[in-house]
Amino acid sequence: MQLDHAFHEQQWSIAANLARQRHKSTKDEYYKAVEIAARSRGDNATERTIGRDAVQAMVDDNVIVKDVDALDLYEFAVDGTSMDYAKTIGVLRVRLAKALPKDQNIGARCLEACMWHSDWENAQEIAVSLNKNFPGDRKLLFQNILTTFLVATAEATHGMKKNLFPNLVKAQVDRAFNLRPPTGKELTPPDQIVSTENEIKLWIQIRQKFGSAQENLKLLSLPTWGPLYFLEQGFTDAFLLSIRLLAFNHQWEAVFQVVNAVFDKVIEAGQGKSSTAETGDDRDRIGESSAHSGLPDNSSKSDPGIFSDAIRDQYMNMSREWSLWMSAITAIKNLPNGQEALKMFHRKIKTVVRILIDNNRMNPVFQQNYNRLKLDIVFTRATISARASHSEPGDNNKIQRLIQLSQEHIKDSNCFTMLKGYLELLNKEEIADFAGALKTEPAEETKAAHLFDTLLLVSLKLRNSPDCAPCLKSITKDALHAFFQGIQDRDVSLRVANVTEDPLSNLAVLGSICLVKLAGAGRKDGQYVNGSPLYRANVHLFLQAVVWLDFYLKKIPKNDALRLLLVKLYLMMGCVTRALEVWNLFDVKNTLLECLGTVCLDRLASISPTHFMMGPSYLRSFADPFIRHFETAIQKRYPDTVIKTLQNSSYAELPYVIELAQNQSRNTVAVIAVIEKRRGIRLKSGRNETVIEDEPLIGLYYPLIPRLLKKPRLIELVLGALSPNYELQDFTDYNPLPHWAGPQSTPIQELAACGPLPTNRRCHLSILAERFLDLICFVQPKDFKPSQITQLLQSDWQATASSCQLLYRHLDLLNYGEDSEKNDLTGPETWYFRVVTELAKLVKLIYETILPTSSTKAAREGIVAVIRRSLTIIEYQLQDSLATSPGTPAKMDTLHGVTALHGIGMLRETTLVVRCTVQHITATLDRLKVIDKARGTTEAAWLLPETKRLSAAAAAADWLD
Amino acid sequence: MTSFRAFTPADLNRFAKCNLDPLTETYDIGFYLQYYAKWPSLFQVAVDDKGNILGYIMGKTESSPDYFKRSEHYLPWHAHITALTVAPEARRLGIGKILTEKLEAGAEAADTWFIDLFVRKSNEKAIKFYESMGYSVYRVVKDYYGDNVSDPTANGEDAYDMRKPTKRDKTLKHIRDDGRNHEVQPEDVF
Ligand SMILES: CC(C)(COP(=O)(O)OP(=O)(O)OC[C@H]1O[C@@H](n2cnc3c(N)ncnc32)[C@H](O)[C@@H]1OP(=O)(O)O)[C@@H](O)C(=O)NCCC(=O)NCCS
Repeated sequence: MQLDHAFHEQQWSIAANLARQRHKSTKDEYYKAVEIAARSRGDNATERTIGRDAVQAMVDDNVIVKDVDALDLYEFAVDGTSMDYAKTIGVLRVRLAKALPKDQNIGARCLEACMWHSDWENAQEIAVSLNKNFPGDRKLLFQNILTTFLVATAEATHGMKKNLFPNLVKAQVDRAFNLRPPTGKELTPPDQIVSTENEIKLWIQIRQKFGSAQENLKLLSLPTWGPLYFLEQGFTDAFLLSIRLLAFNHQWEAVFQVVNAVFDKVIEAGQGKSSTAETGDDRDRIGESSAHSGLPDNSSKSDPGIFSDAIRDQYMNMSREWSLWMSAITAIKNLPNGQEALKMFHRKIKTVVRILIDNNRMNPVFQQNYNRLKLDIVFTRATISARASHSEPGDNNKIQRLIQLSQEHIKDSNCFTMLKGYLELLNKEEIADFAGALKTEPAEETKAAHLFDTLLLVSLKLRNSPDCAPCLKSITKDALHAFFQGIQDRDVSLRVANVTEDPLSNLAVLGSICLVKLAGAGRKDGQYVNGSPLYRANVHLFLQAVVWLDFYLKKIPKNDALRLLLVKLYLMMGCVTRALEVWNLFDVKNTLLECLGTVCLDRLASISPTHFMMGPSYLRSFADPFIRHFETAIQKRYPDTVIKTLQNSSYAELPYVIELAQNQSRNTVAVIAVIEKRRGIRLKSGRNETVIEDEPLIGLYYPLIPRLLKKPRLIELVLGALSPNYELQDFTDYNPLPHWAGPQSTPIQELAACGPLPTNRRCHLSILAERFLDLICFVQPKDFKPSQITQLLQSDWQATASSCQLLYRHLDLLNYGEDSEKNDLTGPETWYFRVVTELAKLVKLIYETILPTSSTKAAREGIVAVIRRSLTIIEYQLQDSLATSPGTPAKMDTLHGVTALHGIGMLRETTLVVRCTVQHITATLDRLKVIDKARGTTEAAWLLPETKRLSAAAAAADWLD
Repeated sequence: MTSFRAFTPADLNRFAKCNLDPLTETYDIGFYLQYYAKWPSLFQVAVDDKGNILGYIMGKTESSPDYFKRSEHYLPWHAHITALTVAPEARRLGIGKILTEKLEAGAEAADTWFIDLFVRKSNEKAIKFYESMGYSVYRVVKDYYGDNVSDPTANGEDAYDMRKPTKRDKTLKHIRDDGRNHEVQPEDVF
């Protein structure tokens, strides 16, 4: 009791003592573990590694910890140290599970512990053992299959397992459903196997990953298996996935057969109710379709009209699914006899839709899909006949269908969005035809409809014209004219207030985009110079765009695309407060941060460091919710979810959970949050906060998912552990931004931005720059007074030299390597990263060539050359920042000031890193003097005047700021 | 176009069109993942051709915990709709209805007694929607919501606990005609 209490109250030394006594008297291993756990958690720094050492010794000495609670305690004892779970605790878990094979409970605990730590290999060994010892338990069988699958697919798997496991897991999972010849060892008679949809979905996943197309087709064609069988069981997800598998394997004939079979069943069922001439016609064709079937019909063989209601429902509901229709269309496009197939499909779908309508199952959303399908059929027919190069004249009625569709949907708010996809497929002449036809069609009497027509025409123009000034001007005029007509008409205003995507807000968005383009904002050549997206831009035009949008926002604050665009425009012009006001209308939090965060967070620190300060009035910085979100998601939610999928037999879901965590750990916005926060804080305070800990993880790179026991903060993970070779990716959802422009013009997210979108290169450059700053800003604690100072300094120098060497190599590669052509940095960022690269080289050279022995002439010259190069780059950056924008009229100088904020922010970054480097060099020379006064003085005599030039350059830049 | 399928975690990055709507709450990622891990077939989405989520429904099957067994408020095995939302631009097309039908099919397959949900008393649209789908008010939970959308000065807002019977409940023993007259406190509902 006492011990329990002390342990839970975290009175570690008391607990350790009590446990020691208890262990002495009982000889129970458990108390030993309690003692070790308590001691490694205690305040005594020398005891912190005690758990680690104990675990390592047990691993090395082949010890088996037979008490599962004790093992939990050891796991707790090493939590927070950087041990590889799979090589330590994971190994002990396997030993325990195998030592007590008949204890299912212990096995499950060990399995879950390994899964929690993404240690698939050890989990698999435990799962195998459990499966072997409880052979009748289907859940354990599937845990075995699942973990084998995870090992087979994991990037980290090598050697024998990589080669053998794919075949092993295929055999296992096929047998689980009796799809292979029996081995004679089966416990469940084949006809008694009851499989769940989850199990089947896992089978499909494994087949998709490792099965050959022929093998998969053969299995999916077995009786009591395959798509139709799944559908009749009510496993709609498995049905759709199995079709996807067939399509993935390019089994077009089979895909087409399945869709046909579904339609036939519906037609069959419909005949039970009403029998029309067409359905009779279709019955003849059914025979025709199954005659050259690649996939035997594995549906239930009942007489027409008498299959059960439940099964009939499944077929009816499935027959209206867009994804089913689309798999048919894709298959048809790939079939040799596409034209025939398309005809058959078209004929059948017409009948099916009539039956669905008769049965009250054609909700508007399906009707909408069907209208689009009709269009798709027309477009597909055109494609196929163009391919066959004997296009039948008059057959191609694309334009006519488009006009028809636009009229059917003219009142729908998403009418334009719907048409857009098809317009993209038309060539210039066809678009002109369409626009012409639209103009001459008698417009409906309502004004709203007229507005939609105008909107359509205007946006068509925008899509179709190059970004030339006269075109943009005329489009802007049209949009503005229609907009004002609408605004002044009370009737129209009232009407649009009730729809979400109203034509007026769309006209405003369209017009503003044209204005932004006309203003010449965001032009790449301009950006490169001083980082202001409005450099060289016509600020008047730009401001008109902003005013237009803001005017409408105040009137009807509903259009999300409009609001997001406005946020971006305000950020471009440096009006951060107003930008954030509009942004805050969205209440972006939790999971939404991940989708949209980049829109607002990227480069914010350079523009407005204030938003990253913490103080009495700001309890958290703008970046903190992001950091918290990723930290909890990756380190807690992810492993918790892994366990929950396992416990709930959601086998097929687990790979997607892993994928999500992997994507989160490579998400650029997680890195941006860390970088922006650090930049913001130091831009404001002028100091760098270092995070280097006693045990830096540099060199021990691993993806951010918790394979290691250590659970550091996101900031430490990103800065300490993320390998420069780990590919980062921008997962931002840019879809909510307006998408009106044509395929050739710059997308809005790039046009309305303070610089290029986040890339792997930019994020890694930023991380490396932070690492360099940490390295040179690191100061030993004041009370650090080692006895063997010379030896210690030398090993310290060696370590710094090799870290710098590594940093420099990566920086150099990213700055000047193959990706450097990408144009994904702003001008000031380019200069900043180049300065950092030179400085890393400088520090590296100093550590390599003047600290160990007296410097040679060549070494000195090398160092001076690097300093000179740095000075040149700083000079360039400074000049760029001073350059006034030719686009800004003299009386708008203030605006120029705010739009240049990013450039000034990055200049401040440069001066800060220069100053820290100089300080570091000076301090290092001082330490050299401590151990070798003469040499220290000599080296300082030539080097310090050179570094003073660097300080002077930094001071000059600071003065500008 | 719109297609329907089961949710996958990658969809979380594409649900801005639904969740930018102020009536739709955005939760911690663990909340969605928990439903995905436990009740994957009750988490269904509608997507457009760009991969945007136009609507989703998220639900679970459960009964009240055992210690509630003797309470008059004990809930037998049932399905619960935790979240249902359709992007504003895609409403009144039947998407909400299809999603709900999918969840109901799952509830039938799991042999539950009924499907239930909580809705703000002021959310007339949603109440009309559920009524059109055969749901009715079973009880009123006083001040269930901490805030009040239509009246910021009020302490909270009542919820309707609405229900629809499944085929299992042949005698409609879990349904009330006069549910609006039955008031309970938030602590009574599990
Ligand atoms: C409630 C909600 C999900 C409905 O989705 P939906 O896809 O628009 O609904 P459906 O098109 O399937 O509507 C089916 C039927 O419900 C009824 N209905 C739906 N919306 C309605 C409304 N605004 N007013 C009156 N009845 C309505 C109608 O009877 C409708 O059939 P009909 O269009 O043929 O007349 C949607 O409005 C929404 O997302 N609201 C915000 C989030 C929310 O409140 N969720 C519920 C929280 S518990």
